[in-house]
Amino acid sequence: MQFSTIGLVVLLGYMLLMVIVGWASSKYQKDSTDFWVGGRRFGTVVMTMAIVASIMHGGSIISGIAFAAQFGGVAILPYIGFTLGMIVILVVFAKKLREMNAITLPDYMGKRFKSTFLQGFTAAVVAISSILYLIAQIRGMGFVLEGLLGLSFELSMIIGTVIFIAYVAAGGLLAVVWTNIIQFVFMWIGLLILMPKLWAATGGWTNVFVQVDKIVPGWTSPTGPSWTWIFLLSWILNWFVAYATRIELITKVFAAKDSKSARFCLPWTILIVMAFLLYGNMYLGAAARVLVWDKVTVPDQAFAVLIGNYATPLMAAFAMVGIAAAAMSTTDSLLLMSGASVAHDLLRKCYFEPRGIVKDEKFYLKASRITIVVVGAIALVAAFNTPAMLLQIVSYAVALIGATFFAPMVVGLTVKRVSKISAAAASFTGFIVTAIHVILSMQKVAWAGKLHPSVSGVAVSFIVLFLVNAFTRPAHEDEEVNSIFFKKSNVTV
Amino acid sequence: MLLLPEITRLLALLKLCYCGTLIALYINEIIWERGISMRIIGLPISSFIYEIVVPALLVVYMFFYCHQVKKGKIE
Repeated sequence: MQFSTIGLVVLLGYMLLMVIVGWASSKYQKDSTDFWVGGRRFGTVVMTMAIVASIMHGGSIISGIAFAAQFGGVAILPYIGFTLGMIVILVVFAKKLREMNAITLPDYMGKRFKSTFLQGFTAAVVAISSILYLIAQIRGMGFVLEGLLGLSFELSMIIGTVIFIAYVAAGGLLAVVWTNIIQFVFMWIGLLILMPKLWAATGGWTNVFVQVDKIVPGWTSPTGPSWTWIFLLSWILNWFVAYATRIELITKVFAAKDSKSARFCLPWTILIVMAFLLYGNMYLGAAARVLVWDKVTVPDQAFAVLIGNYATPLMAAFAMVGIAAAAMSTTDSLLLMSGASVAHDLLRKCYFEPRGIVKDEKFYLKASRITIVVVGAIALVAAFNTPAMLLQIVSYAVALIGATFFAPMVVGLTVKRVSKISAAAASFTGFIVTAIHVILSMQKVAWAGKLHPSVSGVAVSFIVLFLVNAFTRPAHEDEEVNSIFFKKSNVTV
Repeated sequence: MLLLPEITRLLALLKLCYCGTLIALYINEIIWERGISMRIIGLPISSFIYEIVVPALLVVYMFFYCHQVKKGKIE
């Protein structure tokens, strides 16, 4: 049997499983809370696997290996930023966000600051950034399926997108979580199945790092062969902000069965992600640099070349389906996020409810499903003909969301006296400054390239929040805000 | 300004991380400059401290925090 035939069989089995899960999950959808947050019924184990699968995307394997092979030690830089970001969620965000019974992050902005405008603005940022990110993920998935099935790139994108739109529209977050768990298993099988052959070829864990450091002096150092400390630290800060506000992660917090599950899953998530980065990026990246780097023309091919040279057709099929699973596990979460921003935040919270237009849950459930299909179709059409400039912007989508939410979330959940206007100003300036920095970086302005764009956006956002706050009326005088976010036992003077 | 106890703990933790990172960077400089390659699970010790030990300590802190929540000492 040829590689593509075995790949096709494994992939069809996997996709069939996805559709079955979507169909089964659709039976549990009674209202929009069931659809967007899975009826808030997930425990620690399910939450852990679902979060890991949704933050480990196809790019974190393909590009992660390419990045590690090229730049060495810096590939492990997310460790500190990621861990610090998760600590902020654990200590500051998780309990209050879970107990406020929200559905999306813009929901928090609306409830905490009593502002429909702020909810609408942040929902638009989430929707646009998620759709941009979704476009890149669909393209990534298209490349994987193209290699796996031997079909055209366009047809591969259509097949993959139709499958995940189908199960997300049918089963909402419940389908996303259970498919994420299956994807989690496929992903790890795909990565680990290569280990014995690569271990034999490189002479083991220690040996591969000794060899790579001889080939590229400084590869194993924290800054790798070419990064500066300032650039490295700004990336760590970016990862810290990005993970503390990562929407596919935070939304799962809303779906936990209680605030304990929302918190207890976080250290387990980090442990699994650390294991993934150490093996899935550092070890495979070093192995690619030592074994196949001379056969690689574009760094992103490193993993595929490694598979082509060191895997049997059956192993290769599982490895590639594992990558497809990783790509799908993020695309479905992103589709759900962008759909929720449009259907729940913009349509329901910012248009129908403020105008007193009453619609029943059946209407909102239907609207949610239609939104998912429309948003998915828009992203697919955009993925067919994506300008190179858009792909560059996509890499900063997470930074834009981080700069928009980070200051109003950290300060809003810890400091009582925050005004609606200061939160809106911080959110707006964080987004604008990061967007300007992104454009300057893309135009190769020298100083802009020395820092990650989210760093300037987050810094300005904090300054603006504290400055404007000093001159405006705080929102904590509202009793509803107090009862949700600042119960007496939580506050010290 | 009113602050939660969490933010105080967070700041203390950040200070700890900052000091830990500075120490790790200092050790890194010494070891790296002298070309000593003490290898633990395959990584030179300098990278190992910076990239594995500091985050691992933070994870231990997270488990400890969850344990305190379970015991009811943290709400």
